[in-house]
Amino acid sequence: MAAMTDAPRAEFRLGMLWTDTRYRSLTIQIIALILVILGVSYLVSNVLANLAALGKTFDFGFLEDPASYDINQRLIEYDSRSSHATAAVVGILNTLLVAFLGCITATVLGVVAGVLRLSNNWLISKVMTVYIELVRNVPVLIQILLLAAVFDEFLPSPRQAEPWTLFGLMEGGIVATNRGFYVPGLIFGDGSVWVVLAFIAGVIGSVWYARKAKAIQQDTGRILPVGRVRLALWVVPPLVMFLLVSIIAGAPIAVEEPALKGFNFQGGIYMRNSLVALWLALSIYTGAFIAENVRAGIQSVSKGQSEAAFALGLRPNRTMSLVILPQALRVIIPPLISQYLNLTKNSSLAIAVGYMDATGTLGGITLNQTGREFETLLLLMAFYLCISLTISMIMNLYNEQVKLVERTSASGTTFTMAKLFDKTTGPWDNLKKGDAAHKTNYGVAGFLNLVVLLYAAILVGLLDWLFLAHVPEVRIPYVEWSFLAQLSYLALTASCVATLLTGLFKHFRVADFATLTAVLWVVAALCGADIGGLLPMLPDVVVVVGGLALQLAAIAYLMLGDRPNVTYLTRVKRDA
Amino acid sequence: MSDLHSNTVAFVAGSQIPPSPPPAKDRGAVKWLRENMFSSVANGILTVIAALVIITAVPAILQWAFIDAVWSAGSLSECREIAAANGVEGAFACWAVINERFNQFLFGFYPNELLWRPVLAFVLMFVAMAPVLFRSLPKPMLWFSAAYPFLAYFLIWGGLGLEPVESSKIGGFLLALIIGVTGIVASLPFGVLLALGRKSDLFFIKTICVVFIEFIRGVPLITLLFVASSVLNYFFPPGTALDLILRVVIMATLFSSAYMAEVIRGGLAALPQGQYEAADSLGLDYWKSMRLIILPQALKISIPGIVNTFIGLFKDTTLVSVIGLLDPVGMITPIRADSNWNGLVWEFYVFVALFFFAFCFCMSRYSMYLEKKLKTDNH
Repeated sequence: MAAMTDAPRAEFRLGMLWTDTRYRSLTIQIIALILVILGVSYLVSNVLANLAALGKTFDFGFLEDPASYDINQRLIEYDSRSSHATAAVVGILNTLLVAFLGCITATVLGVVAGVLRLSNNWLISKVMTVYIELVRNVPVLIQILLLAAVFDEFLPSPRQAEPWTLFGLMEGGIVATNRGFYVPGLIFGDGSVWVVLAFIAGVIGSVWYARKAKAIQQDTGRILPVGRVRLALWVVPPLVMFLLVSIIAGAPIAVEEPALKGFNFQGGIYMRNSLVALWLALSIYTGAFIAENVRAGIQSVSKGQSEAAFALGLRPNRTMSLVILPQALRVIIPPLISQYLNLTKNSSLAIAVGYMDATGTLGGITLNQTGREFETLLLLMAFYLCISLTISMIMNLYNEQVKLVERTSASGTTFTMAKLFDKTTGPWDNLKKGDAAHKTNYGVAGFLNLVVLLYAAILVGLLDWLFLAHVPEVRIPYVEWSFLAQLSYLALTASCVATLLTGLFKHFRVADFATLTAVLWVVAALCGADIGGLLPMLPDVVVVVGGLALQLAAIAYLMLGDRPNVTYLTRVKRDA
Repeated sequence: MSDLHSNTVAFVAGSQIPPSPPPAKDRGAVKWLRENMFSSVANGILTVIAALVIITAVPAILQWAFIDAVWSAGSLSECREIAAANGVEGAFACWAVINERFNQFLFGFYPNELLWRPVLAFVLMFVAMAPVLFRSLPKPMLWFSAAYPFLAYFLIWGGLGLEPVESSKIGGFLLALIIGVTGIVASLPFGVLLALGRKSDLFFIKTICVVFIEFIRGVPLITLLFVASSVLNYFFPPGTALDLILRVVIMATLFSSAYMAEVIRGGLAALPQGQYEAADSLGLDYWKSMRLIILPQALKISIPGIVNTFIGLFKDTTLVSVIGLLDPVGMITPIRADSNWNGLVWEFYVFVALFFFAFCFCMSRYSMYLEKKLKTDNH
């Protein structure tokens, strides 16, 4: 029988490399590989010849040389004697600052505009349409330059500026001048850490309370007041702590308002016009795109859904929060995240208005001063790539969470964390919560997760070397530690990130990962990592043991405690 | 007798009363206003706020841009004199500067007596595009489309008997169009290849394509333009010095081909699996099945996406002003620095923004129209 179906064994001939489909794909790939290697080596040899002709070398030593230029908008200590690497970090932080601010305002603007565009108010929806179409079709660079030029030309000088006192609430208030914007800032005094801790405790408490309330509602049907209690938990503890500390040691947090001194304002937070112009223009531009995403998301939920909810007797706001939004968010969030990515990439236009972001420092002045085009551009691109890849990883994780299980599965090539875990630890279903097989696979999964951890640690180490190795000011001095301590420390960082992801994504595999690596707190401390140095006011033992306990408790709570009911997102089948 | 009912029962009406009109609040403009402007208290407040904003802003803008504007003058001070003579108080638009520098915004510093060449190239572009867009036109016109890029290069840069024009003289919207159109046309074949590569089963080829696409999409265009302006020459054999515009075009092509690849990949993914299987079952090899079955359909689906990529690239051409090319945005700085026009801000940006808006808005409407048309065709 078997002999009948087996094809006669043909002798291998050279022609079969191309004619036989068994070998052809291999042949094509090898040819392509050779071509790519030839092409790359041709380019590299050209580069080497050109560099040699100019007497240039390829090394990153210039990063330690003094930058000798000034950056007037900065988040960390910097002066013209600092190194180029410090300048780059200042720039990177500036990029992150404007991206962070921009994402918040763009989201607010976009959601408001998107919802209003759909409103049944004819006038409002037309106004929003004009805003969206006008802004979307004009290059963002023009908008940035226009705002910056208007600020520089038409705002009053500091001496003539009239502060906006928030309707008389403040003395100094907000001042807009042609030199920049001054807004009141907070000064954190000695006891402020307690107020912040009280606030964090309040937030954690409110999360706990919301879950408890949900569980009670699931069990008994009794609805507890969540909104008001949550608000109280956010506001009352820090307020009480603030008053307590004020009575004992004087006010821990004070408001500092800008005041005119001589030719300029002093005090408060100073934002250059370039920062404000960039921030506003990026928000307005990205906001228009987000508005379109929000509109598409809301429209994607069919009218039958809201009608069904009304038929069940839900009030309009409950319908919105329980029926429409969960479905709309699934459509809105992926493009929203890629808009964040676009905003971050567009923030590189800062160089056009002189805001010193990563492009302005690393790709601008440092490049021109040192003449090291290759090195600076490589670092710059690596930085943006890191941001992009991080954001798209978060997006993929989210998509994995909210994906509807469909009959046809597109054979996508997208990388997802879950797929990576699947490859290393076997089928995903075996490890899902509620599956009996979960416990048996625990050890294998954990071991293979450690391999992934190693990759992560190497990645973190690489980033650290690329960006921070030359900036002693902003880096935990772990270069001087033993190799084992360094490795443990990096693993520790990955572990903390995994714990955060556990809370964000409810991914059981991530929880395994975090649990196993949490032990590295102790390992790291034993190997000589200065974990205790992270919180100098507490004894080292307390930091290590307390940290470990906290992390384990967090993981246990997040995964095993009263989890919020997210069945509309990921329905886990459980047999009764 | 039932037919005599009306005679026996006196109070039944013999004829129908004409229907009375609906209440005043439920018809005409009032009804429309109640439904579309004042359907609730919150809506009413919003309407009033929006109306107030429109009533204050629109007349002020019209006043600034048209009624009080000065259309021709030699300098800003002359502008102000004319405005004062007209009795204008407050801000007014001095369009005279656009009027005077119009050619610079359009063509950069292209020699005035040779302006017919870029204009001719621009007009011929539509002739070249026509056979691609409309299939009913005669096939031989495609030969002209194929020859057009060389013809356009010859017309704009000169040579072969035409007076040569240096690259540094080319600017304005001409430059934006050169970069945008060349970038998008050249990126199409690369985009198709990259998309096919990314969907291919060959691991090595797929990896190369994925790495290339994700790398290009992960970095901002400005860093690629920096590569064009400072590093790209190093990759060529010693002694070659490529023109800056050409280097920018190369990087813009690489940039948009990554985005193009993703658009076409979307088109490939949208095709039903049956099309691939049908092509296989006909015994077509890979390239034949792609050329005859898959790509014609996939490209058709992706046309709106391609148009959107073009809009994006066209808007992004403004970035070349950062590396010192004189595109419309790059033209603004030298004109603002001119002592004749020092102090003007809005006019430049509004003019350039309006130009880009007109172009991009029309393109996006066209892409939406295509999307609608293609949707009905497919189902």
